[in-house]
Amino acid sequence: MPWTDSSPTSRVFAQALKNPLTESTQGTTNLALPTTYSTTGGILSDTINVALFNNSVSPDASAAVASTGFNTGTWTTTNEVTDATNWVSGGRALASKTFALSGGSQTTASTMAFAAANLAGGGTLTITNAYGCLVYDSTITAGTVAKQGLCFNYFGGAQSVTAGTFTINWDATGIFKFTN
Amino acid sequence: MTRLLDAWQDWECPNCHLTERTRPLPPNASRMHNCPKLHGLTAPLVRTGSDCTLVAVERGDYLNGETQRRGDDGKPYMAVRVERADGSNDVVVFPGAAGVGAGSGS
Repeated sequence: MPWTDSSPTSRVFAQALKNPLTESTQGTTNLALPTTYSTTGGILSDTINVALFNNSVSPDASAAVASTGFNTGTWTTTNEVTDATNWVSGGRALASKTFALSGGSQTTASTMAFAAANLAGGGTLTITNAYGCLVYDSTITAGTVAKQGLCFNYFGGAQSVTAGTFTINWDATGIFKFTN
Repeated sequence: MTRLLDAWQDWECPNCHLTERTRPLPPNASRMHNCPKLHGLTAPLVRTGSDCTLVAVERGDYLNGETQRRGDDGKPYMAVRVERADGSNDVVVFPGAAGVGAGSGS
């Protein structure tokens, strides 16, 4: 089902939770990290890309790992929304990435959030009907899946730009987050 | 004699009339502000004199408890658009946050 019928519409992939995001609970003896994933810097060192997609995708956070990568499963380039010059296939890379703990007390939850600088196209572009984005690790080049997806984020509806700028202003609570 | 040029760009918000003067920025660079006339949402400044309007776009789909940017009126907003007279536009989108765990909205 498309973005508009999915619920919730912004989610972390279960397979990304298992590996690499919580892989350290098992250790590399029991579960090898994805191929070429940074063992020292994790997602803060890897190149994390954001690709735009139309409403023909069927976002599924419980998908098998082989279907969560960029250009696999539903996230194929035929469903991708691009601009020829300033938001090309594969998307744009996040900058100023952080993974930080905030808030929390004896009576309120803490949040561990992945955040990054807001993301804009490389210049004037034309984008038609982008409904959401796939956030994926472009540094993972092989294994069960290359360019493994971490999460997908819904834009709330169709977003289009004609000969203008396209900017993703991430939520103040992060691109994805864990809450206890 | 060498004459030094002092170049700048002027920016404004057509809604709240905030103005800024900056050194020349790269083409297509944006200046953002939280617009009090646009429900406090993050909105771009435009070049002074631009023939355009800024509009806040409410989320087009049901929320179902998800984390979504809200304006000071409590409504969920998915974007701010700059609509120009020549038919071109800019957009700043506010994606939902993907969450795991109690109260994360997912």
